[in-house]
Amino acid sequence: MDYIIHILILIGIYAILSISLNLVASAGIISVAHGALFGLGAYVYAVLGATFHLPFSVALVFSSLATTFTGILLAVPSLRLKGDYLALATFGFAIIAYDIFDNLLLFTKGPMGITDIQGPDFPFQVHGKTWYLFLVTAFAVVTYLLARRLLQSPWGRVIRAISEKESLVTFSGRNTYRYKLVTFAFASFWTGVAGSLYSSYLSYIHPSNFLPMTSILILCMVVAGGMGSLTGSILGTSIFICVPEVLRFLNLPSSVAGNTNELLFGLALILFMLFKPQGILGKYLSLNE
Amino acid sequence: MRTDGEHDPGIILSVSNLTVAYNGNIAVSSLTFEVTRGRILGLVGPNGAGKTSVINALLGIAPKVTGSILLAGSSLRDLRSYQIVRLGIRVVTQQTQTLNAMSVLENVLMGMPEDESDRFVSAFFWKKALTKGETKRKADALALLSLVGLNGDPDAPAGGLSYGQKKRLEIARTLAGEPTVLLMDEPTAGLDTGGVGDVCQMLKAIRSSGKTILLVEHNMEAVRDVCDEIIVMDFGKMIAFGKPEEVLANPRVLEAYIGRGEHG
Repeated sequence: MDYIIHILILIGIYAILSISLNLVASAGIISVAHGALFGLGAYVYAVLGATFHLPFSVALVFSSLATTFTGILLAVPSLRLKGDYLALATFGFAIIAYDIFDNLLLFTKGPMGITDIQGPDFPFQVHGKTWYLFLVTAFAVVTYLLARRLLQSPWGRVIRAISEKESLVTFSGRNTYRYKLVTFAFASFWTGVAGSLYSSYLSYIHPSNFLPMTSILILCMVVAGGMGSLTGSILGTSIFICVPEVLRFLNLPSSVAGNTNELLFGLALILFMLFKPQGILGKYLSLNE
Repeated sequence: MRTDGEHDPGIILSVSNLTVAYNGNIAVSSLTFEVTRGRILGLVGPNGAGKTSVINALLGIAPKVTGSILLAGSSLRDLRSYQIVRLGIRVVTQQTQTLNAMSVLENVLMGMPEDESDRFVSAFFWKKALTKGETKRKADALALLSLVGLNGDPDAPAGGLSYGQKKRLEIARTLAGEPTVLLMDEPTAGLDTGGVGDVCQMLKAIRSSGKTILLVEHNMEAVRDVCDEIIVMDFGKMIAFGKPEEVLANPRVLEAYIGRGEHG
């Protein structure tokens, strides 16, 4: 049972990431930096919690503000780029971030990782995985509801229009850059929340948790579920979390299992692009048509 | 034409010594003209005459522009496109621009000026007043759809409309922005005779509502029908200006068109 709850917790944490990345994709932005921001959130939480012993809620808020701020710093120059160039710039950030996690020993302790990261300290103590599942689910539901609210609002209408034809939105008198920047900052905030939850749940993090591949994995979840569909993101997340777990039962050697995962992710992404580019529940056939 | 620096309230758009260049090639050379409020000024000329470059310069998307562009006395130079649009200029482009994945109604709503309900925080703190505002915007959008003769399902995807219907939708979206000056780049292109007649009627109705139109057009029947005055351009320069009947009888204009096999 503990194992199933563990999987559900991971689905919840990654759902926060894929839903927030879907918002970014809804604005026509292909970002491959979400995993790096997630890692930053996890490390900021870990350092504040393990070194400065800040309470869970305070460390989570600071971690989310840190990812929001970093997201803005990344977005300011990157959002001037379009399409593939934008994706490459954000991927560059993911690579740099991993190197920092691996080498900034003073804060991250490098490959040793940070241990004894504290968990939540709400008035009702969150003991055991079941309580943790409730906590993560609550955050995932809030992320979903806020993202849905945003997409259904006039703001959401504008970002959907930007993804389809940005010039048309410009010629309606709207500063598309500002819309994209704010959407990216909002999504970055949730990477901090997800990172804090991940860090406090595992109580031990190390750089290999946040390889550049993590960003691609989150993007795969969004693409498979369907860009523009938040429910699709949850479905995509469930698929990409559960499939590697199923592989565990095949008793493959660990050296093969890891590569098989990556192979399957890559294959799934190619197949989706070829046969169902809008994803399982997606609405949009393509971005920047 | 006026050449002094004072602003005449009757003149809504004033362009002087406009030069537009692309990669060192001059597309428009020292063009000067004015558009009177509430009138339709036609901009005609053979392909490559520089008409669309003038539109691009007015919208702030031409790469290298010199000269002066004043909208109601305010300079448009060095402004970004969205800032120019906010001042009251809207465009109907040559290539029909619709948001195909969005509904017909949403397309028109996208043309409306930005207001409080468009703000990020408004999405989370949706007040009654904002809901009321959105309801009014939807009612206004439906009225515009009716005005341009799109009486089908407003919630249907715009991608399912025919070419002519998309053109009407684009005009409805542009009007939703309550422009003072409307730039129209070949609005009759690709339309049949009936469609051209409908667009001409629409342009006259827009003029009657007090809006000003700068019309780039190849269809000379449409130009004769709707324009109060026209400018003829050739190789980036103005070669004639005046009332359509007089200008289109001008030998230099005839040579620019007929001499090179262009048809009106």
